[in-house]
Amino acid sequence: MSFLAKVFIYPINSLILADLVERFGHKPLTMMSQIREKVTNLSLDSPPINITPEDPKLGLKYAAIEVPAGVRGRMALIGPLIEQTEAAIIVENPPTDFGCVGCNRTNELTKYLVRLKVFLYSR
Amino acid sequence: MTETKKEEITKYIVISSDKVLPSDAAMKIYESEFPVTVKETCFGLIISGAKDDVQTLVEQIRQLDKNHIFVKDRGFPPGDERRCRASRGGGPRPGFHFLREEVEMLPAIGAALDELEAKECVTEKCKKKCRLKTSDLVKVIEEELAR
Repeated sequence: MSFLAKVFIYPINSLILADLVERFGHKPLTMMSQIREKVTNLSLDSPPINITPEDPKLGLKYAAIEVPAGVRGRMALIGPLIEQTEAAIIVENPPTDFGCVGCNRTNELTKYLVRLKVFLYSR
Repeated sequence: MTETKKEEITKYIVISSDKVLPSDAAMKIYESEFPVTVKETCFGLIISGAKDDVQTLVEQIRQLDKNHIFVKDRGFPPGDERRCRASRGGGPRPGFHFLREEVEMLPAIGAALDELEAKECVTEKCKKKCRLKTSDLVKVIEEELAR
């Protein structure tokens, strides 16, 4: 299946945005695909959900060492998606900003990196 | 010999339709005889299986009422012990509150997709200030009563 563009969505696990992007022929870049790679891998490195000590280290590419490990861990999953981004749909202050995706520091960093990436891509 | 695993995916099908029930969609999948796992839920279905099978089925289900059936990927397979509330001592599973918030918005999204399909420009309609036509009022009342 060929897609027109890889579209980053925020909130990153949104049903509505993922469906609309896919409905109009593009590929949504979502957290679910990243999670699937982690949890359905044949080898279990670190049960139950395979988050290893390596993940916060991967996050160092996007956030400094002083940043909390939770932010770096999240960026280890979100960062590779941002690198593939060709376009983005960002909803400001979504009512669904709570739970695991409610980390405000991660969200601010994500939005900043996406804007930077899309700006550079469009030039 | 290295073991290769066929790529398996899981998808949520969220149904916000007046015409199609989750049980109708589930029956459609049973009739299709694809080797997939189906779980019926309050908001729709969870389908898990080989990537090609699931994508084909999802397209078939979507055609039942394409503007009111929404699809989303899921990372965990259905009934996974790490997420299933049966093995976590009850309560909503992680992610359910987010989904419930979005499900409440789906009627509006479906109506907007209907209008888009009918080639009506939503923004132009908002710019004009005029009295509400009786026919429009009847339409609004009928839509409210149909819920």
